[in-house]
Amino acid sequence: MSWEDELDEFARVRGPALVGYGYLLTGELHAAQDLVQDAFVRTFARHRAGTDADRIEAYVRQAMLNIYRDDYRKRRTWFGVRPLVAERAAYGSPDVVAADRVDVHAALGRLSPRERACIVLRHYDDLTVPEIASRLAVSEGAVKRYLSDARMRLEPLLDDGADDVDVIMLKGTGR
Amino acid sequence: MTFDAELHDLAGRAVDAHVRSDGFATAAVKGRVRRARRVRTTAAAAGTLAVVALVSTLGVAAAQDWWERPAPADTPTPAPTEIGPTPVPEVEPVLAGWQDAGVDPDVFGDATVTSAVSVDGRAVVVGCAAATGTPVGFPAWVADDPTTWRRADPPPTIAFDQLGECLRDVVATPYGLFAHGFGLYHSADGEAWEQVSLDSTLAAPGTFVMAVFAVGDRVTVLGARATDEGAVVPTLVSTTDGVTWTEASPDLAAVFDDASVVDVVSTGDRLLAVGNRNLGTTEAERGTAITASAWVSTDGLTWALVTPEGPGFDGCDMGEVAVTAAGYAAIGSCPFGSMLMTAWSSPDGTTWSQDAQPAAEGEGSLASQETTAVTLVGEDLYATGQDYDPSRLEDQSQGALWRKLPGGQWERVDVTETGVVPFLITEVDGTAVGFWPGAGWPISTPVRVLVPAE
Repeated sequence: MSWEDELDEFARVRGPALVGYGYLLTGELHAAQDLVQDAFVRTFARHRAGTDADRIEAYVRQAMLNIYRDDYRKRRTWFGVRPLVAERAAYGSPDVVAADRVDVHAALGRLSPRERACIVLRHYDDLTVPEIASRLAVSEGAVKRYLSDARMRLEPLLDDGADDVDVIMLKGTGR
Repeated sequence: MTFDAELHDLAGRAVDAHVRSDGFATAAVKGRVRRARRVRTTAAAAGTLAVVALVSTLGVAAAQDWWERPAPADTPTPAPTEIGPTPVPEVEPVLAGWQDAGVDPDVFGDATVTSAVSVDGRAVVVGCAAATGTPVGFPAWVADDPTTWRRADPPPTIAFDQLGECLRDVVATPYGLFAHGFGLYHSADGEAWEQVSLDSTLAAPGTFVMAVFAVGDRVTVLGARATDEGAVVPTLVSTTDGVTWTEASPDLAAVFDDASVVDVVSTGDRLLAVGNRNLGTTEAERGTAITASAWVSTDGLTWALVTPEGPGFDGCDMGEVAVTAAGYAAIGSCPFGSMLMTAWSSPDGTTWSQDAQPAAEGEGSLASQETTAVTLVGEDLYATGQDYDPSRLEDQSQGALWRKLPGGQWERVDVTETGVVPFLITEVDGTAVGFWPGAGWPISTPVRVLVPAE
């Protein structure tokens, strides 16, 4: 199978889930699709034919993280400015994806890129703090700081305040 | 609905919306991939031609300078292509007293290096596969002279093509070399590696190796596993013959309860470990209460915590330690403190104090600095790390270099002015070699091998 065929097949089978992952990072459907396509380019530009799909997906996910962490913000406004100028568009009129999930969508939109990446990796990818540190190339202490700050930012924006924060902090993987 | 479930639901909605919108066509992606592949092929061919031509016509010495200055005007160039002459890469100068060894950067690919050791005149270096780019395979390299580096043979039957995989450390012991990171590996000569499975304790799911250290005839592995409550349970397993491994009493390992050991140095008759400890007892507390910590041992089994809790330590973690003429220097960060470049000094390994921190440069509380590597060059200390400031529209993560001269304080310096600095200094066939960049440098930078200037 040529790399072109592998790309088609991979995009068909794994693309949608990767867009979902990208959406959690970017908060916008089109941005998520762009992010996935950029990651496809980085991955398949160096792709060796015959690599299994799970491994390709690992490459693409890591590429998405790196692009999001290092490049994505260059094309966007800084998160600290964005709520002031885009609050109505982003939160008042949530896109079709977040129509009745505006609270979580808005909450994620308040986070810095690193905080958001840490939250997604911890609560969506179910990674441990050391694993997150490795993926983002920062120290474990820094990951703890980003998670702690993110949880404080999320607290007032989620449904029932403190109860949800307890859920966020204590629930889940137990790691 | 829990927060985790909310995230999964949100992602699921994005998937549905993506599918409803017919997804995306891959034709444009393929076009970009083809262009990227053409550029890579052209660049690789041009680079190879340029290096071969340079070496064959000007000799090795000239080739060694290739990284330091533009090629001479009469340097043969590859055949012209549609995209014009190959640009000479713009590279930083080298620290005074050192020079580039002229090692082909392709040997290291997109990897970074994390640890180096010298045994019987041979240098062995381990590192991290790049988070993007070409998988480098098993990230270990060997050299018998400063300019000729080659890839080590990976353990058989194990695939090493994950991006971002790291070997954090390589240690010389009486029973050969041990490297650890995404597993524990052994080599008799640094050339051929095999995976090590110690026993069921260390092989238990969730167990990872934090450190390997040797003192006298004892080699010890410090392993740990995480509990469901987020606690870290350590294990010490050691050998005195290189064959039989024995788990030490849990009481001995308890000094590392809820700890993360990041670096260990040996000073002949003593070991010094640095890292951090969690001070909380719940998962939430463990996520926010850390303190920079150091431990010492004379036999690798009985360790003593030597750092206090409180100002100068709480909220911080130590990342790497160097032996200096005045004692020891450790670097790290304070993610729950100042968030500035952080370093500590000790005259004896047991009494530690935090150094004065360079002033903040970023935008208030959002900016942070993280120091990840330290090296002693002559009498001067250098540290690298990253400077993160989300208020910057571009390059939020920037590499940062700090210097501490004898009797002075840490100061931020510009690598374009100081030149690149040798980290992980070791020895090959009697010649010192160092590597740039130091671990944790956030910018993709080819590994440069540095040697003392002639």
